[in-house]
Amino acid sequence: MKRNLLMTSTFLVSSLVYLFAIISWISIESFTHLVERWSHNSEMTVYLRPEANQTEVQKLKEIFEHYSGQTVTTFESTEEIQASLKRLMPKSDMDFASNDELVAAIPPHFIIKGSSNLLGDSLFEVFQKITIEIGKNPIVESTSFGKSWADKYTSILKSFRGGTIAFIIALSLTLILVIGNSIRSHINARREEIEILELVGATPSMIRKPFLIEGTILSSMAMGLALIFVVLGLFALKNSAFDLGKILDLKSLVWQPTMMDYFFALVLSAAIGFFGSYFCLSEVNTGWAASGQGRRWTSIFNIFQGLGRSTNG
Amino acid sequence: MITLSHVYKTYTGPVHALRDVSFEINKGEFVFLTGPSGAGKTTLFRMISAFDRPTSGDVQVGDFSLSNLSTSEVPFYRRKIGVVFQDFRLLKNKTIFDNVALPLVIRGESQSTVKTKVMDTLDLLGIAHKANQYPEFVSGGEQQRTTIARAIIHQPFVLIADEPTGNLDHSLAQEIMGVLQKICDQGTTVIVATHDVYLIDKYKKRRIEIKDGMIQGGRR
Repeated sequence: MKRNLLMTSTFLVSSLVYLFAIISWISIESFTHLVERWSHNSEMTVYLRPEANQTEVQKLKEIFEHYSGQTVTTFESTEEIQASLKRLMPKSDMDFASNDELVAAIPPHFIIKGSSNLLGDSLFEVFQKITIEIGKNPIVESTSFGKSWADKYTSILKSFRGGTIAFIIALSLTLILVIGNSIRSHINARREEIEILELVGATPSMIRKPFLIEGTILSSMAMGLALIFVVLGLFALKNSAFDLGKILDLKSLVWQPTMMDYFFALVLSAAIGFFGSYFCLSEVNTGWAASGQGRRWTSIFNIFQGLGRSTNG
Repeated sequence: MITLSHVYKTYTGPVHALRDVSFEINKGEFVFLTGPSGAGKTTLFRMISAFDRPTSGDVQVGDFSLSNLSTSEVPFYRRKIGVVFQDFRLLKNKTIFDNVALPLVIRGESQSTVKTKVMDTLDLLGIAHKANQYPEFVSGGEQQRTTIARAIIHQPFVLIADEPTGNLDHSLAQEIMGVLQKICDQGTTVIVATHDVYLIDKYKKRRIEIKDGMIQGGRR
C-alpha cells in the first residue's frame, strides 16, 4: 500500500516536473521567436559622403551584391531623398526639398534589409560582416543598425537559453534521484526475492531487467501525462479559447513543438527513468546482495534512505 | 572436491569470524559442520556457497577457486551447487511448483523439461500433491522439503544445508535427514551445518567441529 502510494506520488511529481520543464522550454522558444520577429524589421543604413561619385557608389553596390542571397539592398540618392521629402510633406509651408542645408543633413545612403529567411542573430551577424567589409571605404560616412540593441538582444537571449537549459538539466538530475528513490523502495521491498534469485544462480542482468523496465515506464508515463497537458494547453491557445489569446495573437506567438520534439521528450524521459533505476540498482544488484555487500558510490541515494525504508513494511 | 586452505575471514571491527581454517571433503561424502552459535558455521557456509569471500586463504569447490571467482562467474557457480537455508527462503507469492522450478527457469530450460523435473523431484520428496499450494499454506516440514527440492532439482555436485532441521521437531528432522542421505547416496556431496547433538549422534557421519572461528582438533 505504502509502496503504491510512493510510486503514485513519484509519478505525479515526475509529471509535474516534466510539465514545468516543457513549459520553460516552450517559453524560451516563444521568446526567441518573438524577438526574432521584431528583428525581422531591422535594417542597416550605410550613409555616404555627399561628394561620393557614381563610380564609387557602383563599387559599393557590387560589394552588397555578394550578400544578395541574404539581404535586399536599396539605394537612395540625394535627388531621391528630395523627391521623397516632397512626397511625404506636400502641404508643408516650408520647402524642405529646396533647403540645401536640410537635404545635406540626410546624405545619400543604402538601406539593407534581411531576406525573409534571415532572422535574429544571423541577420545581425551579416550586418556586422558588411560593416567590417565597407568600414575602410573612403566614401562611407557611417553605418548604423542598432548594434548596441543587437548586442543586448543576443546576450539576453543567450542567457535566457543557457539558464533554461541549466534549469532543465537540474530538473532532470532531480528526477533521476526521485525515480531512483522510488525504485529503491521497490528493491528494498523485494530484497529477499533478489537474494533468492541470486541464490539459485540468476545473473545481475536477469534481476536488473524488471526494475529497469519499471523505472523507464514510470518516467515515460509521467512525461506522457505532462505532454497531454501541454498538447491540451496549446490546443486551447491555438483555437483561441481565450479572448485574450485572440487579442494578443498568442496562436502565432507561442512556439509549437513538432512531433519530433514530443518524441524526443519521450525518449529523454525514458532515459531519465532508466538511469534513475540503474544507478539505484547498482547498489544492490552486484551479485552479492545476500552478503550485504554493495557499491558505495551510489550512496547519494542514501539521502532518501529513510523514505525508502518506510515502505518496506 | 572441497578444499579449504588457511582460510581467514575478518569483518570490520575487527571481528575474526574464521581463523586459519583448513579441511578437505571428498566427493560423495556426508559431513556435519558443527559448533555452538557464533562459532563461524554460517560464515563457513557462506564461503562455500559463494555468498562471501575469504579475507585470505583459498576455498576450492570442484573446479572453482572461490577466492578468485569473479562476480560474473558467481551465478554460474551457484547454478552448480544446491543451498538449503534454515529459514527456507521461499518466494511467498509463488507456488511450491514455481519455487522449485526457479533454478531451471533461470537456466532457460524448456517448459516441458521443467514440468517433468519439478514433478519428479517433488515426488522424490513426497510433496507432489502440494505442488499448487503456496508456501505459507503448507507445514514447516513441507516448506523445508520444498527448499531441498529447489536445491537438488538441477542435480548439484554439492549440497550445502545450513541448519536444515533447526525449525523442525525430531520426527520431521529425521525425515529431512533421510532425504539428505538419499541425495548423498546418489553421489552428491552433502554438508550439513547443525548444532543438533541428537542428529549428530544418531547419524554416524564425519564431523568437522568449529569453535571461535577455528577448526577443533587441528586439520581434518
